[in-house]
Amino acid sequence: METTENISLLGLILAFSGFFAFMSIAFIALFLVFKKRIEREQEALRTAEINFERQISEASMKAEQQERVQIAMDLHDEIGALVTVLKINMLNAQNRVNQPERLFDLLTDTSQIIEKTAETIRTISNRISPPTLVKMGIDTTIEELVKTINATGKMNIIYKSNLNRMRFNLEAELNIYRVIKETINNILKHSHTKELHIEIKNACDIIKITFNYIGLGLNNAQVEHLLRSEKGSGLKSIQSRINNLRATINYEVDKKGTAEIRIKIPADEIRN
Amino acid sequence: MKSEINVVIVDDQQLVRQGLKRMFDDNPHIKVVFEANDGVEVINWFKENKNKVRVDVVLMDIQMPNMDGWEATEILVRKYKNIKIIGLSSYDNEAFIDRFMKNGGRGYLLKVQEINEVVAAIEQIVEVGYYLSERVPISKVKDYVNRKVVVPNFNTSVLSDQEIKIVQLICQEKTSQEIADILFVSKKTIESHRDRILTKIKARNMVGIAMYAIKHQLIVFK
Repeated sequence: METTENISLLGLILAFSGFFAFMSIAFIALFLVFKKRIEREQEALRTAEINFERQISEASMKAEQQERVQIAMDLHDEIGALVTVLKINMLNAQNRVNQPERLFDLLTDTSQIIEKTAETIRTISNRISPPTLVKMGIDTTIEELVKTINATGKMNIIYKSNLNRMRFNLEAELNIYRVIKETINNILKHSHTKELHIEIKNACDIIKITFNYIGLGLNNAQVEHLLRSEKGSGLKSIQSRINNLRATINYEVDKKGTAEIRIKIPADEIRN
Repeated sequence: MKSEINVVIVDDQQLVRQGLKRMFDDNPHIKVVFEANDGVEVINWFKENKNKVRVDVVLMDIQMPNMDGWEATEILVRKYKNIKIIGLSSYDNEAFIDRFMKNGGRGYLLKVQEINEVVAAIEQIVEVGYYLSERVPISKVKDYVNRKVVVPNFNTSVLSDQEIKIVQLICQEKTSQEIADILFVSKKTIESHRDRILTKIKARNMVGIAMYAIKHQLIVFK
């Protein structure tokens, strides 16, 4: 009797151990499979992120390249034409030394063309790198930019800053200037607004730049969508400069139609 | 009295067109019959007016909106075989000039540096069909003539033996002084010979003489 009981107990123990062993192995196998899958998903996410960043920096490089091509063309076409006319006028003047009245007209015309040439050189040079930025920094350059835009009557910009003409390293200043300029361009093009407030604040070693207006705007999700699409080359170039500055940018629109763009730049990173 | 030459100017810069016209004020035998802003405009004008207005020479800018000077030249030359077009551009890249000449251009001038040659170029193109500035090296002229990119049509008046010798020396890119020393005559004599050669073959510069020499096989290249 006892022996039979012993045997059946042993059988039970064996069966249980077998079952546990099987369960543990199944569990471990399942765990490994899931872990692999999670790792794979994480890897895919990382790759997507890297691709996204690469896409942004490529788009910004492409925009810069295009701008360079445009500048070369403008130099060639506009300055080229003006200098050609100057040369023609000089040849004509040589032939008119004995006709004082016609010579006078030619010289007046030539002097106007020289002025126009100087102005064109100034405009093109400004587009490559605004001399004000190099010599006098962000504050003065933005003030100048705002004045030019306000003079066109397309939009009124109210600019406030407590930077007190503070200087940063030139690369950062150029990035900040381009971000502000590109953002203003986007607002000019798409927002249908007549008034834009821009404020730059230096507080606790963070430079905060805020754009505020009533009109059409984008929120973060919409910007992200555009950044991941083929469109939005201006936004991509802004994002790439923001990354260079190790800054953050936030896009918001509220129900009343107030749009706000907030940029935060750690001042430590960009000090002169 | 020079015979009248009808010219069409194609350039997107109004200032340049105006300057060119002012230049022709001193050359009343050159008459501007039409000004176009780009290639499309000039082609359309030709479609309407080719049978009404005689055009001797077209001055063609290269870089223009809508249609550039290369394409416009190619189309015009295909349609009106004998049309004489001079490129007038601020691009001095050899590839640009080559492309223009291969498309059927009859000459090419740099806007700033060679604008003073425009009248001479127009006159020579009317006379012999082609004009190249002295910036173009003789080896290039030879290449153009041999490959029939340039097919000049010279007055076949015969040059004297002395003149042929001078032509040969000019093609070796010798200066008047050097030629004078070689032929034991004065520099002045060489210069008057040279002027007589130019008048005889109706060329306007030394490259014109080189074109003549290459075409009539007066010089041998190694």
